[in-house]
This record gives sequence, C-alpha cells and structure tokens, in this order.
Amino acid sequence: MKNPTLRRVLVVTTVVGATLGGGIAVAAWTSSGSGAANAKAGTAAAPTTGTVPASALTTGPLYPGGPVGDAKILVGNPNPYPVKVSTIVANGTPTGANGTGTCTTTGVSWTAQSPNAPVPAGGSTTLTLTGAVSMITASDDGCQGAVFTIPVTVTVVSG
Amino acid sequence: MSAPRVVFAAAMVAAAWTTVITGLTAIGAARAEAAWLKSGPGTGYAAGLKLQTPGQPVVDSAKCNNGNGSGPSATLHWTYPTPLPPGFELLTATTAGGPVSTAGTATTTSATIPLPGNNKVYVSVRATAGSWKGTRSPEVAAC
Repeated sequence: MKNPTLRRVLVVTTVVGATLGGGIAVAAWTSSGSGAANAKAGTAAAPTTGTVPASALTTGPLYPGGPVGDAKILVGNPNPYPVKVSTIVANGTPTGANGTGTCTTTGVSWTAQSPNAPVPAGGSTTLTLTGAVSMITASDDGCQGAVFTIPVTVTVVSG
Repeated sequence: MSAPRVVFAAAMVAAAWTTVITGLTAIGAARAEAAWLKSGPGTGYAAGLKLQTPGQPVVDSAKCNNGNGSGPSATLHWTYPTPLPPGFELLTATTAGGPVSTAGTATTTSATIPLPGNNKVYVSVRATAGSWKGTRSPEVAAC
C-alpha cells in the first residue's frame, strides 16, 4: 500500500476491531455466568424468620413519643447459597404482649430498612436494626415492658 | 489521503466504538438480571420500656412552717435502677395512702417540691416515660 496515511488508518481500524472481538468474547462469557444465576433463581426459596426471645431485646426500648428504637429479626436462608437481606418493610399491624396491662393500641410503627446483610447458605442471622421502630404518643399504658411483634416482608437478593 | 477515505476511516472507528458501548451495556443488563430477589413474610421484634418502681423517697430537708409561714418545701431523693427513665413524677397525699396529686417532676433522683397547705404530707414518686406512668414508690411523711 503506497499511501502511508491510509495504511495507518487501516491498521488502527484492524486493531480496534480485534479488541472489539475480544470484548464481545468476554461479554458472552460473562453473560453465560449470569445465565447460571438465573437458573438458581428459578428454584429459590423465600426467606424465613424466627422468634427472637424477649431477653435479646435489650437496646433501644420504645416509649410514647420517645426516640426511635431498635428492632431485631432472625432471618433464615433455606437456599443452598448465600443471600443478602435487601429490604425489610412493614406488612401489618404490630401487636404487643407481656406488658404490664392491656396493650391494644401499641402505637408502634416500622420504618423500611435496607440492611444489605449477608445470610449464609442454609443458615440464619439475627439482625439488629437501629432506629427501625418508633412509638407515637397514643400507646396504651399497659404496653410498658411489652414485646412488640411486627409483621414485615423480608426480601433477599442472591449473591 | 483523500477526503472520502478519511471520512470512511472515521466512520469505521465510530462504528467500532458504538459496538463496544453496546456490548458493555448488554453485559450490564445481563448482570442485573442475574441478581434475583425473593420475598417472604416475617416478623420483627421490639420492646417497650419497662418502668421500675423507685425506692421509698428520703427527706433530706424540709421547711414545714407549721402552717405559719410561706414557701414550705421538702427536698427528697430516692433510688432507681440504672438506666434512669425519661422522668419522675412526685406525688403528695394529705393522708397516708390517700388520693395523690402531682407536686413536681424531675429527671434525676432528687427534687425539691412545695408542701401544700403547710400540713403534713405523704410523698411518693414514680417513673414516667411520655404518657406512661410506673408504679408509685412507698410513701414518706414530710413534716
């Protein structure tokens, strides 16, 4: 080729093209890995939760109009691979038990959480969620010392 | 190099980079799809503050005036397990075990309260947390 400029352009184009080929090859390989993960999702089981004993609820207790408090949740992962707790959102009306008296109106509310906490394959972990709960002023006097059970929806993500 | 050839070469390079960007975007999309989400119902737990019963107040000093002066008051202290509650309410009764009325509040374990009517009163204290009120302590006589 007599024209050196044209030759340089063609060389650059060829190199870029070769690089592109490599890039596409990597992309295809990575996509294959993602496909395998999708296959796992097809058989994924929902997370579970367990009972947290009252003796474990030692920090951030609630009282009417007080600061936000702490909540605990025991999350189980029935899958044979680790997951992370993505979100925990309210899913019902909290109830109170074992207080000093009648505890019909708890006044407890749950703030959506995104802990991004790992749960091992086939295992469980107890999460302490600081500031996850609060109590309005309209809480029955008999709720003193009560354990509040708060329905939630737990979402986990693979990986 | 002629102008058309330069334009052609530039177009080739631009097309190549477009392909690169498209490929990387596809990779990103594939990875997003790979991270699945799974939800399930569960239960979270929290606890309500448990108010303890303060110890019987101790009268540190009292200005009783025996019905003749002004400003009768009593300074008292009491015990409470740590951590302290958000507040305390001091109550007085004119008869032992009788109806009580609020004589003052405190956030520590001591307070000075007025003594109504310059008469002997019975003082008790209870922990408070917002609208919650704990159990009253045993009474102590002042004056």
